Parts: sequence; C-alpha cells; structure tokens
Amino acid sequence: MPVTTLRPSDIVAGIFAEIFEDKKSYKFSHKALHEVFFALKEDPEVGVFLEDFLFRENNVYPICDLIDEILSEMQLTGALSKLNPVLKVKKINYKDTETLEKLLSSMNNEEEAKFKLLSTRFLEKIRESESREA
Amino acid sequence: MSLSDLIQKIDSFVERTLHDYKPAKTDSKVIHDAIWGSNIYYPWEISLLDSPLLQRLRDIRQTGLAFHTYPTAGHSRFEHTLGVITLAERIARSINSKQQTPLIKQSQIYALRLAGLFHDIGHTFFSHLTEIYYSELPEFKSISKEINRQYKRSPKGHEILSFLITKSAHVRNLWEKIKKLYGTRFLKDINLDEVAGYIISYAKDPSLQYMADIINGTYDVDKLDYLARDAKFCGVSIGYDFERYLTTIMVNVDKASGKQKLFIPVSGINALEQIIINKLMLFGYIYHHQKVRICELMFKYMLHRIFTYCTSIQTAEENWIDIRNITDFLNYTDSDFWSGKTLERLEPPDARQILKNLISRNIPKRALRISRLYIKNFETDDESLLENYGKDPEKSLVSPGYRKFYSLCDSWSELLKLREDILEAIPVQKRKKIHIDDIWIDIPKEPISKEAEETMIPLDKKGTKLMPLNSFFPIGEWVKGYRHSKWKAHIYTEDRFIGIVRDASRIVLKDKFNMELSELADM
Repeated sequence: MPVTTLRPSDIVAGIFAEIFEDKKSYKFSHKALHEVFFALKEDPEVGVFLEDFLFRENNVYPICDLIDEILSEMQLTGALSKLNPVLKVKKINYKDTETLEKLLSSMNNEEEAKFKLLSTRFLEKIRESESREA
Repeated sequence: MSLSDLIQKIDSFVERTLHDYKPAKTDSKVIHDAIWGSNIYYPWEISLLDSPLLQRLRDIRQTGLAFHTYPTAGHSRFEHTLGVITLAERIARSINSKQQTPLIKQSQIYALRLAGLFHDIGHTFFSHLTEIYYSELPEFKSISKEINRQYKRSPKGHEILSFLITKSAHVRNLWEKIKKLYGTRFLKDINLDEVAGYIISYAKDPSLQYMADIINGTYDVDKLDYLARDAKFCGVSIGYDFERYLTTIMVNVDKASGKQKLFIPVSGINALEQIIINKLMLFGYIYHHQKVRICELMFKYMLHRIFTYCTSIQTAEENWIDIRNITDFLNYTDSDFWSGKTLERLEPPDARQILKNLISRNIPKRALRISRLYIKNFETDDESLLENYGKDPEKSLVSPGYRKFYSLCDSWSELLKLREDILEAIPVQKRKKIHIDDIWIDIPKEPISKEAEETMIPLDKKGTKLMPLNSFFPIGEWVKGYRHSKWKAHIYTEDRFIGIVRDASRIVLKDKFNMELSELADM
C-alpha cells in the first residue's frame, strides 16, 4: 500500500503508539504541535507520510485543520486526555497497538523504517518545544 | 482532473451561464434584509447581482435540507451574500474609525464588498450537503492539494470553486464591461485576483492579510452573517453582541510572521465567547438535529447513486440529472431536485425512490442513539485491559472500539459495509422482509472550535505579545463538553422495523466495536 493512501488519523495514532510511554505526558500546545507537524511535512525524509495534511498559513503560525479534527476525535474517544489544571499538557492514554500493527504491516521495510524515523523526529521536536516552553 | 482542467471547465460554465446577460446601467439600490435592515448596494454591485451567476444563489438554500425540519429555514445563499457584503463594509469602517488615518481606503472597501459578493458564488445545490460529497472525490482532493501548494491555504470545496469562478476569464470580461458602464474612477484600483484571493483567505501582500481575514478568517463576516441568519430563520432564539464585537475588532502586526491581521483585544473576549457558544448551539439545534441529519443522509446516498450511475453511462441523454464531474454540480440548483420533472425521469430507480421519499417526507425513524453517555463499558481503570489492548480483542477496551466506530464518519464505503453487517445480524426469517436500504447509519463529524485554539489575543495595543484565547478562558472545554454529551450518531429505519434493527445493531456494535449500549440509547 503506498504510504500516501494511509489514513491520516491512523498515521497520528501510529506515531502516538510508537512514542507511548506509560504514565508519561507531553506538552502539546496548539502552536507547538502544529509547528512540529509542519516542520515534519517539510522534512524530505519523512514528509511523504503527511501529504494529506494541508497547512494554511493565514494565521500567526501554520495550522492544519485535519490535525485538530484528529486530536479532537482522539480526545473524544479517550485515546488522548488533557491534564488539569494546565490544559495544554496531554497524556496518551494507551498504546494503540492494533492501529500501529495494521499500519506497519501495510508497509515494506523501507517505509517502516521511515515511519519509525517520523515518530522519532516527532518526539525529538516535541521535546524541543517542551524545553522552550518550560 | 488537474487544476488547469478544472479552470477550463469552470470558464466554460461561466461562459454558458453569462451567455445572454448584458449588464445595464443602473443606480444604487436599497435592499431590505430581515437581519441587517435596509442597506445600500452600489450600481456596479447591482449589475453583478442581477447576473445569472449570482441569481442562481437565490435557488440554493443556505442550510441544505434543514427546511424539512424547520419549515422557515428557506433562506438562500443570495440573502446571505447580501448580508456579507454589508458586514464587510461595516467591519472596514469600524477598523478605520480607530485610526487617525483610515487604514482601509475607499477602493479597498469596494474590493472587500466585491469579495463578499463573490464569496459563495461556487456553492452547489443544497450548499454544504453537495460540497461534502464532491470534496471527498479523489480528483477534488488532488486539486485541493494543488491550491494548498500554490497559495498556502486550505480552503473548503465551495471556496475553491468561488475563487476559480471569480478569477475566470468570463467574469473578468463581465467586470470590464461593468467598469466601462460606470467609468473607472471608483473601480480602477480594484484587482479581481486580489478579490478572489480574499475568498480563500489569501492576500499576496502579507501586510494586507487583515483584508482577507475580514472575508475568510477566524472572525470573518461570513460567520457573523450565517450565525445570525440561520438562527433567525430556523426560529432559534440565540444571538451575539455584534455592536461590541464591532467596536473592539482591530488590526495589528504579528511580529513573528510580519502579517497584519485582525485581532480582538481582551475587551472583546465576551463577544467572541458568545459567537463560539452560539455556533455550538446551532449544531445542537440545527446542523446535528437527528431529522435534519437523516434527510441529508438520504440525499447524500441518492447523490452517490446518481454519480455512480452517471459515471457508468456514455451519454448525458440517458439521465435527466447528469453529474459526472465536479463542475456538473454547478449546473443544478435546489429546485432541479425538488420538482415533479426530476422525479419522473431520474435514474437510477433507487435514487428516484429515495428522492420520492424525501419529497413526500417519508423519512425513516430513529432506532438507536449512540453517544459516549450511553455506552455502559466506556471507561475502565483496569490496568490489564489497558496493557492488553490490541493483543487480545476479547479483553480490549471499548474506547479504541469507539474510535474505530467514530472513524467511519470519514468512510462512505465502510459505513455501507456496517449497514450490511446489521442486516446480516437480523435473524433469517425476519431478514426476508427488510431491504438493505431500510437501514440508515449516520455518524456526524463532531464540531471543533478553531476559534478556541487559534485565536490569539494581543495583551497590549501594540500587540507585542499574543496569548491564545484558551489561556483567558478555556472555551475549548465547552466544545469538548458538547462533543462528550450532546454529539450523537444514529441508526434509522422504518417504523415497523425499529425493534429488529435496534436488536441487530446492538449485536454488531458489541461484536465489532465492543460497545455495550444502555437502555437510554433506545429512547
């Protein structure tokens, strides 16, 4: 299956499953998260996974409405939660092994390696933004 | 279809539509509106409004099939367009009133009004109802990507069509004729490409982004009009403080991006909250009303059948309604579907039957309501279940299943498959009486509030520091509350099959998604 046909919501769920650590929460401010995905889309090595993520640059930072929809759905269905009282801190509630395995099984070895690289880069960039915001 | 193919086809559509139209010189006119009162429209605007391109909007209802539930919701895109033109000028004048030298020149106000005039020109029959359908077609998705690459914006389907129509060669010709009629003194500085750009929130010069924001942005005039208009014509008593909003809106430079943008200062937050909450209320009252949703679902399915049929036949003569590519959607307006002529000649027959049922309001009834509130096993503290998710489906949590269920709202084919599963789950003897098209499943997309997350509030007049609206008041939590408690999916069927379909649906939802529904789901 070409990576461009993967469902965007499965790609995000797959990344979150890859970086899942029990009881660990991440600082996903709206701005930081959209900036991280925007940078990854521009990344020639991993950007192919994010082709369907269309960013608009009419705001003060790039925004992808699809990411908002996906995160909102993940919160609604309990896959992601916001921690009180600092609402920008989010926790991935469980490792979505099923989606991750489905994703990886649809990829060849090279694509799988790229997807893992995407997840690693996502984590690195989120950590960078966490330390900037701290 | 590539973007250049679409541009060509749109130009042919505009040429056909404007073929017999010769603009005549006229005066300014006052048009009276139920929402915004009596307003003046300039002569060149009247010449454009009188053209068949704009007149077709009179026959496109603003709220799709909501009129089947709210009988007074017959308001059209044309009325909304008039409202947007008026509000564009009011916002511009309000911004100017806060400056020593007017920021927005008179010619720019004319341009904004023109962008308001053209902003919905690409709407197709029943507005968003058909937009949702063609936007999902692979060829349209690739066009959206191309527009995104070129303009760094992600406009909706109808905004792309409006943008391309406004930029088309034949609209340009019409505009040149109109300019000659009235002389170029007022209109010479208006660039139709810029006007079109505002429709997709694009300003070539970043220092003019606020102009595009007025037409398509977080606080745009489109939203201000439709919130007031949809509520009024559906008989819903909600409102927002437009005057306060108007007195607070301002233009500021965002230091990081260098863009001049529209902002609402701290003093305007209450008005902004009202707007966001009202938008949410309209979802509860109108857009997600279960009767509105089933009518829209039936129409969408009928459209799917027509489209599938048309793309499988050779010539248009075989069908009264011929929709086989994106621009074909522009060829029809609401009454083309709401007439006896269509009913007699529409192919294929199952689409004709659905339309007949819709027109005669023979609409399926609710058999089951699905919401987080009605799922008995939604939450668990059992760590072993969390660890086991995905490894052992028997022990899996309901929430991942619920996520899978919700994700079907994006997949037409999987929804149809779920329908088949429900039919299969009906005992054989009873199944003989029921047809697949007697089962309808609706999973609406939940609303998200862009405003709550992306609205940046300047902390001082210079706008040197910006904070997201959510930092002042977590309005996003209101939206979350709506999604949690008010959002519902539904399964519908005919009155006589409610019990059978309900029981079968419960079995399938438990088997496929591990969702056990309480008795509240039956009410």
